[in-house]
Amino acid sequence: MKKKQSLKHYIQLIQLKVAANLRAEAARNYLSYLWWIFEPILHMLVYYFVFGMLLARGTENFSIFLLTGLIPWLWFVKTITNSMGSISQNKGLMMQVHIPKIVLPTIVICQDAVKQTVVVALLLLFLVLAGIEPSWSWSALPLLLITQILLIAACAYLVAAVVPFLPDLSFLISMGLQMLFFCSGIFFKVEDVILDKHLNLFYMNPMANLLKNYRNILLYNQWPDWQALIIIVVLSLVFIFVMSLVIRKFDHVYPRVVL
Amino acid sequence: MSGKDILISVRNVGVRFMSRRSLFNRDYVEALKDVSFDFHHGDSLGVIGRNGAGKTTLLRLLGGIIHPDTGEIINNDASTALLSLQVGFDPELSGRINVVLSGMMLGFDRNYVEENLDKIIAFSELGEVIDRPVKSYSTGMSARLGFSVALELNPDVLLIDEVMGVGDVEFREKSTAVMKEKLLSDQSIILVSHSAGTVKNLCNRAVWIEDGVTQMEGDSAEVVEAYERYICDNGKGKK
Repeated sequence: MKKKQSLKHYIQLIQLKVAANLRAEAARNYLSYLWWIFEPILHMLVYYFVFGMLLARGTENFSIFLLTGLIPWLWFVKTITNSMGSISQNKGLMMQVHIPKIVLPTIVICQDAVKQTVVVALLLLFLVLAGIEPSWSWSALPLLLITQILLIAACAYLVAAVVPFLPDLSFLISMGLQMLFFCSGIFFKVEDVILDKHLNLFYMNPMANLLKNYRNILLYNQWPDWQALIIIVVLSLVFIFVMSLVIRKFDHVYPRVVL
Repeated sequence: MSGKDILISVRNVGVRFMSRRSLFNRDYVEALKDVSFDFHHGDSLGVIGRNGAGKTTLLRLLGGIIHPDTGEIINNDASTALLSLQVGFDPELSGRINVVLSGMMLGFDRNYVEENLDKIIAFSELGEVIDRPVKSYSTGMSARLGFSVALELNPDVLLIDEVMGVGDVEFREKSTAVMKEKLLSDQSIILVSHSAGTVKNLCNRAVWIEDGVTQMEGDSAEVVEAYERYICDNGKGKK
């Protein structure tokens, strides 16, 4: 009889679960994997209609501009939203076996990250088809993706750890995400809209900062703002570390509070 | 059979759950107040008590899912697997992948679970259905699968929560037979039930819990007898 609970064991468990979840998710809908692509495109069409046509805020190449902002943004929102319930939704499982609770939000983070890589690959294809020349600055994309996944993990662990204790918070988090949506420059050119004196404040929002960098490297042939990226990475890592300790501390408390 | 090394020792354990009424109004429900007993290797221990006596909470403590508020549980490195009606399966995934996942969550190595996969599926008698999502299973079917996982993987201690009444008569007889066989081959079992018959039938030792406090611990026949007498005297029991 073997009994082991090493890190490797849990990594295997997460891999297996993520792969199974992705397959099950695809099997649930008729269009299965196509939804990964349709969803950002549908969002894009909505914002194109509202901001590009009705409000006449569209800039040149507005669809490309929207997509490069929306795709990373949707990744962020979705993972945070899915992480909120990651612990309480697995209450049946938690009552059955003891597993380190950090595994649960980690599964959500990995699952959404796998989807995102597919979507990002298609975004690049779309950009090329739309006539954007791939430039050397595109090579910085993996670094941006890594920065974002760390930021996402930090926020996801935070909400996953707190929401089981205070379920009411999920409403506030949804509101906060909506506010962040308007403050991240997804559907407008920041320089045209935000006053100069507010720019620093605006870029304190890590998502606004990341979106600016995504557009700089993909659309405008510019290298990213390394300093900003390093700050985001370091802060995220600190947060991830702290939250993993917090979740571990409450490992045996979660089964009681989600009862 | 007893008298061998102690696997798990429960000392004056108490657990209370906080039930939140509103923001500032909360009170506590004491599920267990003072429970103590020793569990030896190779024993089959029946935990008996009326509904709400804290039996399920006790199993969760033994399974390491929650920690006690007072007292302590000393587990001498024994692996445990909890079996109950609500198996922790993911309804969207197939039975097969669920078996591997739950085996791994119980702490077993992936290879070990996969080596035993065929045996588990055979024991569950699910056949072809094993590749369909668990949400299409009946309660009995998923309980059977959960039961097979825990039985075939041989954890040091099997924790069983009222699951014996599950499935059709045939499967029930088969699992009872297998459990008796396991008992002879040194498997340790803790079984929770409010049915005196099951405990008398399957266990050599028993603990009787009343209102979160150990009333009696000892030979299963004696404990069950005392329990039944108590139930009769109070006139609240089923028998």
